[in-house]
Amino acid sequence: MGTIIQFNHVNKQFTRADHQQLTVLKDVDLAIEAGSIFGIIGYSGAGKSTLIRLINGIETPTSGEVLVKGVAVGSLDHQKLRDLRRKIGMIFQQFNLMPSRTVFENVALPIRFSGLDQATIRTKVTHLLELVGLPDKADVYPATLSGGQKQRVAIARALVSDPEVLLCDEATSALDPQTTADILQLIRQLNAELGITVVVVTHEMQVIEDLCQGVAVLDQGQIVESGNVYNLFSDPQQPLTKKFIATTSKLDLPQEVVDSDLLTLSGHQQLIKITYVNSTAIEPLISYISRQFQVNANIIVGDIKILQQKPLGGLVIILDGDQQAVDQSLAYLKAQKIRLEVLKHA
Amino acid sequence: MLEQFFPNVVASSDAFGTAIIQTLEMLVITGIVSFVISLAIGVLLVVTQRGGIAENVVVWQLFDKLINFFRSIPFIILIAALIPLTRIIAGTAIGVKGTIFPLIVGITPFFSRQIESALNELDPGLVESGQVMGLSVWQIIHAVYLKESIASITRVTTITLISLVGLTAIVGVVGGGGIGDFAIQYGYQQNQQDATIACVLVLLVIVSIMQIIGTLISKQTQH
Repeated sequence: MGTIIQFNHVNKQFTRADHQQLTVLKDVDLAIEAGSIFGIIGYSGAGKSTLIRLINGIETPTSGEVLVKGVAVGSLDHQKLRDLRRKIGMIFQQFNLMPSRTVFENVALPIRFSGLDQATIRTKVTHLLELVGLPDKADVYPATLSGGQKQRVAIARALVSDPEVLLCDEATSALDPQTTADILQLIRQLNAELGITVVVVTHEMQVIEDLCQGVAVLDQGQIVESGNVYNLFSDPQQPLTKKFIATTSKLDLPQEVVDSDLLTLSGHQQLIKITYVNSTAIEPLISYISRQFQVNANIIVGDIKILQQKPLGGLVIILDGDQQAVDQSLAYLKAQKIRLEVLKHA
Repeated sequence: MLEQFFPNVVASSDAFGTAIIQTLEMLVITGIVSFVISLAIGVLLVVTQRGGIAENVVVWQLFDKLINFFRSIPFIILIAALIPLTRIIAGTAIGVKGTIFPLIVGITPFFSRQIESALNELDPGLVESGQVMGLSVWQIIHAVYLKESIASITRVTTITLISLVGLTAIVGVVGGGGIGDFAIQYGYQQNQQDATIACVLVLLVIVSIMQIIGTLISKQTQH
């Protein structure tokens, strides 16, 4: 499909009120595929919000360039920039609906000055409200809606100019888990049906896991790791990435648990962790080693999910048997397409 | 009944009626003209300020300092200082005609600041969403700033008009007419206590009506 958004060596500095320079983004390189859902994750203050606002020119880079469909956003005059913004919808954590306008008027606002006739506007808005599942809310004011409904209205408003890109700035961070899941489902559906490119910034790894194909990890203004979501989840390199992934995984046992009496080992027992790296099938590894090498495999923790049609996660187990059986089992496991980590010996 | 409590007012009822009409004239004309000018200056201050949608340090500094300058002059001194200019603009410096110009100059800086603070109360997220949907500066001003601030603008307009009532009384002192003039002439100089009380009551009614209307509009526009 090709690249739709590209960052080339983008730096962004702010001059604070006391004339101090504050570097928000450092040498950011990024390429986002057209039609994909791309996530940017980082803690508060990492520069995510600034980064996403460079795409629609609300912020301008101090150096470097941001290309949207091959055109540098910074090179556009006022009129062209406004034309570009109509092709890039955006939704926010706090929804930003106009309180004095009805749901219908809110959704119609971006095309109100576009020269479209009233009938066309009515058709478009009605269609979009159906698409986001709020056909009966056209004439109510935003204050009467729930958070999830407000975000649906915001999504309809963001889509009314038929954009090619949808920017989501912490769009689910103010919502409860169930509503978050519903909104993510809606975004996935829009991506699939309309082919719209989606860029998400979030501090929740779960959002990345549920929604995105590509991801970049932002730490203090720098992209420390990026790539395909499965690869990043199955084989994270950076400590920050591991920290984020740990928030969605149950496999990382705290050291106190590993050291506790619960996991006291005896004989030739070993506490091991196996994780999927990039396999396409879940092999019956545990049954195999217990039959073949006569070891007992006591599963302590298990967390396996399917991400992008591939298994992700793993097991923490205690291998129990004689010395040879345990060694052979470990050797066998090492030869498989999994990662093996011995957490503790007897 | 009226004769019993307000003998002097009844005796000069024509002058009292004229005074009320003069005060209302001053309020309406000054209120409308100053509202339009203050709205323009308030918007200008908000959009040209640091981080505004049409940031312009020079314009902002100019209007900011100008407002500070005029606000630092006590109104009674301002009236006197403006007399030559008032004569040029209004043709006279006395009567209702001569009060409109100093009243506008007196109230507009305060009114502009009030409008500015009302507009700045608006959630910046709303302005940003106007920007991201590709609206122009003018479209954001009227479809976001003004439209979404109607309730706050009504509130500050009520406050300002009530302050303006005070100013119209002061202009009376320098021969401007109106209720202030009546209170000074009859109540103070001729020591007719009932005239002063009648003036207070009329002003109380005017202010109350303004407050009631303001609150009503403010409520109507909030959803």
